[in-house]
Amino acid sequence: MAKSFEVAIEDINDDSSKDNIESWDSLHHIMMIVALEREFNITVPDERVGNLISYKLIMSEINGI
Amino acid sequence: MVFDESIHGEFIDLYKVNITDAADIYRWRTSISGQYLNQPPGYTIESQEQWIRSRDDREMNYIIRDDEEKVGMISIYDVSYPVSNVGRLILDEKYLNRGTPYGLEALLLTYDYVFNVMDIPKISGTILGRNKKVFDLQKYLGMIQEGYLKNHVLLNGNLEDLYVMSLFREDFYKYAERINIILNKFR
Repeated sequence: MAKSFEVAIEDINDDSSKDNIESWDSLHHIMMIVALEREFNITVPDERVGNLISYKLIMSEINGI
Repeated sequence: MVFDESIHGEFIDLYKVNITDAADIYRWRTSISGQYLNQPPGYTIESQEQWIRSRDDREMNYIIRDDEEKVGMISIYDVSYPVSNVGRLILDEKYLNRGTPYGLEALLLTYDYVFNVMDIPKISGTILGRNKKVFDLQKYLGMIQEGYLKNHVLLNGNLEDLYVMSLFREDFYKYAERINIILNKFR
């Protein structure tokens, strides 16, 4: 996430979301989805690509797959 | 080839580049935003003006605008049915990380224009081998890698690799659905 959103890793925590990471726009969101898919060898279904807008939701997605 | 001189989107509008845009383009290309673009030797505002004057009817260069503000540039070029190039995308660095999808919508508008208005079924382009972000983005938009050219271009004194990428009309409209899902979330 830190790399995708170009922020320090210390800035990522349980409460991180698109509401408090300024650079979390649609473009960086796509970068993050691509990074997730590559890192965890998963495919995020189209209907859920827009839902992963916080650290907790991302973790939930990864753990649920 | 006759192009529309403006294309209108939700967040941005595209207008044909003219001579008065040369200083802005020069500023963008010589900033951090232009790090993946080649700067010809002796590149100046005057040479940028000359470049604008020398464009032929096989291409259209657009300024990306948010209302009256110039945000960046994107081009449709080397148009020869059944293929067109889309590229030369650059954004003013002050509009990077703004939260508004300027670059993404500029790509979507031009891709749709080529496929739907110009009725050209394939878009091709190259991406620098080290420009992984744009490579990932374009793949997510539906582009496929058709080649990889080692040490193929001299960029600012260094030999660089290039990805050769293509996007087919049917893939674009298939992938556009999930892009719209993401755009909707960020409106």
